[in-house]
Amino acid sequence: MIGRMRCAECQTTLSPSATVCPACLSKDAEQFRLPSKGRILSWTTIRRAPAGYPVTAPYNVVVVELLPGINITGRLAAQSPPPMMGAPVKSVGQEHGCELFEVTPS
Amino acid sequence: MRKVYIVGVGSTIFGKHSGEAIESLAVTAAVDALLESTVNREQVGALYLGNFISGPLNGKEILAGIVADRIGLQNIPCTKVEGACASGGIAFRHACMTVASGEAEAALAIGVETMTHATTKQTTAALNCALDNESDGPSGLTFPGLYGLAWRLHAEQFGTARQHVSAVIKKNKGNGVRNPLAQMGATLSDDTIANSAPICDPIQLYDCCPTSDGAAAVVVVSEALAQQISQTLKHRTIEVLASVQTRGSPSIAGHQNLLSFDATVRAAKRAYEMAKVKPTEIDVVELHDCFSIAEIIDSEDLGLVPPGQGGYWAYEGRTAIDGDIAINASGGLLAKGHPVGATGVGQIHEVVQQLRHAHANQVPNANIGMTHNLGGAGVACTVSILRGVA
Repeated sequence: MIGRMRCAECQTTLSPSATVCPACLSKDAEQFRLPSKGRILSWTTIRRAPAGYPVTAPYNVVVVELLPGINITGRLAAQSPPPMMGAPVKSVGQEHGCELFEVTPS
Repeated sequence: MRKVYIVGVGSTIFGKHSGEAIESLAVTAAVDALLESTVNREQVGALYLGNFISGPLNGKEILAGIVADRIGLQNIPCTKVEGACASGGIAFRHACMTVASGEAEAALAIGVETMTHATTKQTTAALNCALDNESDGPSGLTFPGLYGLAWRLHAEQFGTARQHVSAVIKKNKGNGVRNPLAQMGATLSDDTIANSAPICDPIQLYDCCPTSDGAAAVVVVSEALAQQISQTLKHRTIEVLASVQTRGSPSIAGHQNLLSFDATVRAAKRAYEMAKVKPTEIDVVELHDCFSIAEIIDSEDLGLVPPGQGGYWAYEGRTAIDGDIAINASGGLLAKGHPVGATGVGQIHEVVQQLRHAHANQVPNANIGMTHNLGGAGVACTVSILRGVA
């Protein structure tokens, strides 16, 4: 499962650094769990990493749809089968604050 | 709000200006714009300067005040504005708003950036300040990577292939060959593009705009002042029909649809409404082709090309100078390079030359033009619509 914060008043999903809810300005946040499985909306192979990035290129960045309207930007784990558009993925943990995914058999 | 007119523009070459201080480039463009406008410096009531990364790359801020001091402007409000790659467009809009509100009879907008002196590592780190690093940074995504994600979706939904995207590059690089302000023009073959270094699949080297140094400036005035100086002007006065700014999601995951930037869609819609102009009436547009695929997406978001057709229109020559809609006749960011803070004002300069019928790549009888400047992962956008005064 992937942990995220949401507003305790209105259930808006919050960004990791949010201190107030952008929808209702409430400061009450609560943990909730997103499904650990989703599908790849799009992906790209980064061949030149940003300066100081702790992972050596090339690596695959994926945008994963976990629930309708809730997307997450993550990275494909090194051992994952190659990415494909729409491919099912599951969360396999975190590395350097980034959600790691692996392509699963459909 | 009052009507606003452009009466003077100036621009340095966009390219490599080795050893030249950033404020000197800004001064060159500003003085050209002021002299051309015939406006007295005492009449200039505000200065807005668009710049993004002079802090990290030059260790220089307060550029608006420094430039005003260098060119002898009075004790007027001088403001640096920052909206990543849309900084220049925002500076132009603020200058227009200052005149439209009645706060000033004339205002000066400048855009400036120097980048080529820095290492790729320094430049990338500075540009990455425009990402929502809390949300997108940990994934290791870069700006070319964002457009790689978008391209793959476009390919899947609309069949946009390498050859269609390459058509954008060949057009813009080719237009740049004839534009004296563009230093990165080239005649490229499909093979050269397809064999260039991979950056972020499917983005390759020629899909990316080069870094660049450059400055551009615009003088905008009220209707009363435009009429007062009309006899001294040597060129056509240009009316600002609309200049709109919008905000989109700062983070990539915040975009519901990576095939479109909602900030662009909303800015264009409002600009058309304000200007009372239809997309089919636009003769020439300078849009934000920071990457080849960006031109395709932008042309659709701006309503100039039907959804999904951007690549096909480029491939069929419909966005060429003699096409249905001339897109980036200047060569765009791909051929001019992208001195980030200068780009938005540089686009105004290009469209003004088109509407004066004085452009090196003149679009025949151009009368209404548009500019589109997009910052960050689509967090800031400006769209302006200009018309030549009869």
